[in-house]
Amino acid sequence: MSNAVVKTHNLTKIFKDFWGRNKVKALDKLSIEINRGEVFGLLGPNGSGKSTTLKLMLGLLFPTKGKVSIFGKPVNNTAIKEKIGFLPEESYLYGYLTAKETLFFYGNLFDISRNQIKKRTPQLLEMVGLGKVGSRPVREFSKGMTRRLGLAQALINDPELIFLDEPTSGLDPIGTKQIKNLITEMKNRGKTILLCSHLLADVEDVCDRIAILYGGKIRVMGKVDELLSKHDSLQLNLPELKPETLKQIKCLIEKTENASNITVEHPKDRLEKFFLKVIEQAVVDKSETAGANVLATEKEIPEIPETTEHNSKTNKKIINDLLNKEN
Amino acid sequence: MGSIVNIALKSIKKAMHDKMFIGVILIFIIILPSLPILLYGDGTAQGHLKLYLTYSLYFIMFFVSITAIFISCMSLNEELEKKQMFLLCTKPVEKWKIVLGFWLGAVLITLILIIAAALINYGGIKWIISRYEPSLSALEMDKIKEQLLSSRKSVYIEQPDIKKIVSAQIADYKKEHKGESFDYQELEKKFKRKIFYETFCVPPRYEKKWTVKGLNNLKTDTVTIKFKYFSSEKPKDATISAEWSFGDPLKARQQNYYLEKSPEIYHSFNIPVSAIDKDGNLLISFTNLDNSYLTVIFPEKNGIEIMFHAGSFFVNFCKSYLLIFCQICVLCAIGVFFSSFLSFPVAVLMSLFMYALGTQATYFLNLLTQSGSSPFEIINTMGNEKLSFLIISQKIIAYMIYAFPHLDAISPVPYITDGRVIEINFLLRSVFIIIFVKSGFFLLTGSLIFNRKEIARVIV
Ligand SMILES: Nc1ncnc2c1ncn2[C@@H]1O[C@H](COP(=O)(O)OP(=O)(O)OP(=O)(O)O)[C@@H](O)[C@H]1O
Ligand SMILES: [Mg+2]
Repeated sequence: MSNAVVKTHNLTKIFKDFWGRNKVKALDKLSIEINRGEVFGLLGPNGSGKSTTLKLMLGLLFPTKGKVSIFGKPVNNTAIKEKIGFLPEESYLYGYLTAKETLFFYGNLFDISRNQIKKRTPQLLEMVGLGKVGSRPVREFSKGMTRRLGLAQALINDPELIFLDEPTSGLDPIGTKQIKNLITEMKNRGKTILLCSHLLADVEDVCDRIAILYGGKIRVMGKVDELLSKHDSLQLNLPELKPETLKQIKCLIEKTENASNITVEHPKDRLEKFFLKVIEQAVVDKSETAGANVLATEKEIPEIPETTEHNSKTNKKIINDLLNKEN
Repeated sequence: MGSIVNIALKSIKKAMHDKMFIGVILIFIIILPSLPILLYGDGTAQGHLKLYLTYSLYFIMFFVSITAIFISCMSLNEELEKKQMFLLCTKPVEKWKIVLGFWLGAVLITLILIIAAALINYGGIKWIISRYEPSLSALEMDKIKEQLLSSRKSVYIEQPDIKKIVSAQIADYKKEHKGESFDYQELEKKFKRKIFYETFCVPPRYEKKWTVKGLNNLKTDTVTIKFKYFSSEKPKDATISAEWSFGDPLKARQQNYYLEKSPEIYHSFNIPVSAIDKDGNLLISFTNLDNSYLTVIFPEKNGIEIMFHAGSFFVNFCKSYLLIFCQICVLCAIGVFFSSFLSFPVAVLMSLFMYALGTQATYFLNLLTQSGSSPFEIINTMGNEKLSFLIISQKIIAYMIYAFPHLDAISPVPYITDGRVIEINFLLRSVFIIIFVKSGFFLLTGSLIFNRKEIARVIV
């Protein structure tokens, strides 16, 4: 028994036109293995076959050639779907259901008791920041709000394996941050996650391994640390120095190391952090919003509902850290 | 089971949030109660009630069927197009359960409509009666109730087994004329005609006798005789005189009637049950006394019918709505089936086509086979005819129509307007065949198609 949760072998998908002629080779001989407890990132430019890979893994598309197995079973096995969560590229939800009804509907399709679903629904809504709009119909939601609900829907069964197709698209920076934290938390709880994203910075933070697709083929695959570490330059962080001191240091390095390309810059406050600060202020001021309540005050920080006993404090801690760092 | 119901309930929620749908339903609910006023008829209580019974039922059946078709045709393909199926199909639900869930949803939505329609329909009947009750005598009221608001069973005169007799006669003929060649079809026609003359034609001044069986344990005082005949020529005084007598004088009380009735339309009159003997047999003898010496011809089917009460109108009314429900079940199955591989407009078109064909299925089948019989009989007669391309294609089409749901065969309208009982055997058979066999066939095929479908493929 191998440790691989998802396994593909020479997976190929060719889209045909109405007359059966080959048109698009969306995926070409893809062979990957995703291990239990791993966060795997699937990167690539638009149309490189990321979503197609996910759909093949979920049985929404049938492979032209090759094989996929999930938990060691073929994808058309219904039983394995009990342990899977899926957030598609867009949240294809029912406009006429309310957020609560949506979670209820999907929850009841699983082999979970009604009580469990009743308990999890408000927790999940709270977690994705939709606690206050639970009884509004989904058709009134903004894109980001639908996205958040889509995410809650993917987690209703406390899945072992989660497919996230661009989970941060349409989300505000705080939502993005929350999702990042969420993924980390999931990982800590031993879940396996397959993530497609364009936000490289986020992928860099959360993924253990990544694969970069181009034209349906894997260009690079490997551990993030190994792929990203550069061995030919260094970064020094120092307090503000007097110009003379700086000059001396520069001379010293030039003399002893014989290096020429030395640049000196101030570290920039990233826009993301600035935005965070502004919103944090708004939350502290108790401003109302009809949209997603992005971040609660310290007391109301949501927790991830779990079926098993686990430390759900992680998420809270990360958000707190994030907020307190600047002060 | 849970997921099927869950999906079905979601469909209902969807319908409840569809403004167009709610609007159409409201219009329906408004039109229905106005029908007893609109369908006024000739102003008599009987005419009013009969017209209302017939057309309200037609209207309700038509409207409910169309609703069922639209709702079911919008089920699978809509979710496929809106890609909501991506989520549904990645949940642990078998594909056939999804198909069944959508079917159940469509059926339940229409069922709500049927129940509303039935209540309003029944109210309409009560309203018409209450309107005429003060102005009618008790006798007249009883007559209306007996003819329209009743639940009558009927038996027919015994039919000779033409097929058996003819084949025996042909065998005899073959023995007598050994070695000679003969035209099989011509001979068969000749013998058939002979039996028909012997059984159903009464020449002037002749008497013909028939027995009606199965009139045991009647709980009424009278039975109704309903008859229709034709004459060899148009009678001068527009009527034909005849003597009818009922009951075998050796076993029961004989009743004699002298009647002058016009040909080609149905007539009915009541006779006392004392004419029936203790075995439940009724001997009918008919003597043609026409003054212009015309031959009387009774139709082969339903020429003479004996009707008697069996059960209440209310029960019959409920049964008729159960038949409508059967019809809805199969129409929803057809709609869901088409929606598993066609776009909404095409699915609606195909379903409407099937619906139209279904309401005329028996007629088409008669047209194609002349006998309106089952395919087994069609096969049996196959050897006797020269096989041509035309005949073979006729048979194939006849088969296909036979596989169709025969909506006309389960239409409750003739029962309700004639005050005839919907027999429980017939009802159970209809429920079984229509819901389990025919709906099942469409749902199964739909599931197979849906199971093999690539959900995320772009629909062309
Ligand atoms: N249903 C389909 N029919 C035909 N071609 C398709 C279909 N779905 C995807 N494709 C093609 O397959 C290729 C890969 O598409 P895919 O959606 O997997 O890209 P992606 O990597 O997810 O891109 P993005 O970053 O924009 O989401 C594209 O060239 C696309 O045109
Ligand atoms: Mg994509």
